[in-house]
Formats: sequence, structure tokens, C-alpha cells
Amino acid sequence: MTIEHSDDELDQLLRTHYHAAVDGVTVPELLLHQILTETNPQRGRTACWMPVLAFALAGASFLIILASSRVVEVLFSF
Amino acid sequence: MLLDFETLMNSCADEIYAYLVSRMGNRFDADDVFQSTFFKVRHFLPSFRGDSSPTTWVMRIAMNEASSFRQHKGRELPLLTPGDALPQAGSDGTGYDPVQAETVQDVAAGMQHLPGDLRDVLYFYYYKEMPYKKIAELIGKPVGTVKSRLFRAKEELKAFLEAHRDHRTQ
Repeated sequence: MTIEHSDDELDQLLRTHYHAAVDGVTVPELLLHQILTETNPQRGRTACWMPVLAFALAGASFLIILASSRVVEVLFSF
Repeated sequence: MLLDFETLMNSCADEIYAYLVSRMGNRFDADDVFQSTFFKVRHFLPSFRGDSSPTTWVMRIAMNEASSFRQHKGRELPLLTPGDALPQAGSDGTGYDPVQAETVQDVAAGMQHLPGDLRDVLYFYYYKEMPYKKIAELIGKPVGTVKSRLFRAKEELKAFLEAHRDHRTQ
């Protein structure tokens, strides 16, 4: 037996579905609290400087190592 | 327009969350999208010009976040597991129609197969009982688009229900 779904029947089913699934749904308190207390994950202007900063730090470290090895070389030459 | 974030969030949190639970099909994803929505709200609140009501503005952000979340994550968990949130029998055994209960489950399953834009119009039309014009304003499309999406959504659901029923009777 094949039952055709009339528009009225489908309308009623959709309303029943939504009321069963969504009625009385409220936000968990913990979730609200998390949003109010947590900081926004930075993906804007600050975040785009992170690779530049990392590169600058790596460059500075390299220069420091290079300079100190040069100092050691000079010291040993005496 | 000067709006306090906490006041805004408290005023529309439940409405947005209910939409997201319905849209995402499960509470786990709804929680994630709810969180990212309000992070965005907080970030963009200073630039909110008041062209629409604050709740409409937040709802649009939630709709966008839900769409992008769904694009990144393929499969969704079902909203209704068998027996959950279905019409229950009264103490005298009345008020429960097993055929309708089964079909409501099928509707929930069919909903998972609908694209997000179709699901949105179904939600606003059938659950929020919004007129076409208001839905059109909310989704930023003409009234004709709302009507055609509603029609398409119902046709797809009907096809799903028929296929499901045929499969069951075989």
C-alpha cells in the first residue's frame, strides 16, 4: 500500500516534528558562562602578525648565535 | 547604536540556540556554532549600525556560521533517535498514533538530507510561523525565492517519505 502525503498532512507532520524537537530547548548555562568569560580566539589583525613575529624571533636567535660564535672564535685566536 | 553584549546575548540566546539545534540536527554541533556565533557578535558589535533588529542581525550571523560549519563538517548526527521526543501515549493509552510517530521520525530523518537553505525556510515558516516577507528579509532574498525554497523542501521531503515507506513495506 502506498500512502500519498498530502500538503496538509505534511504541514501537520512538519509542525509536530518541530514542536517535538525544538520546544523547550534552552541554552545550557555553562555554555553562556563560557562565552562570557572566554576570550575570543584571535583570528584578526593580531593573528596575522604571528608568523612575522616568529620569523623575527628566529632571525634574532640566529644573529645571537652567529655573534657569540664569532666572539668565541676571537677569544680562541689569542 | 550602543548595545551591551551581555544584554543582547541574554535577550536572544534561547531563540538562536533553538534555531541552531534544529539546523544542525544535534546539540553538540549546535553548541559549537552557538559559541562561534556569539564570538562574532562580540567582535562585530561595535560596527552594528542598527539597520535591522539586533535579534535579526544575530540570527543572520548564526545562519552564516551554521552554513560554514556544515561545509567544513560533512555528516551530521540525527536529531531524533528512535523513541525520542515523539507523541507519547496517555495513561489510558489514548493520544498516541503509532503511524504518525513513525512518520514524524521519518520527517526528522528526511530533514537531515535537505540542504541548509531549504531547512532554514521550513524552520522559519513552520516553527516560527513567520510570513513570507519576514523570512525574505531575514535570509536576504526575494519573497519568490522563499516560496520556491519552501516548495522544493516539501517536494524533497515528500519524495523521501514515499521512498522510505516503500522500502519499509517491501
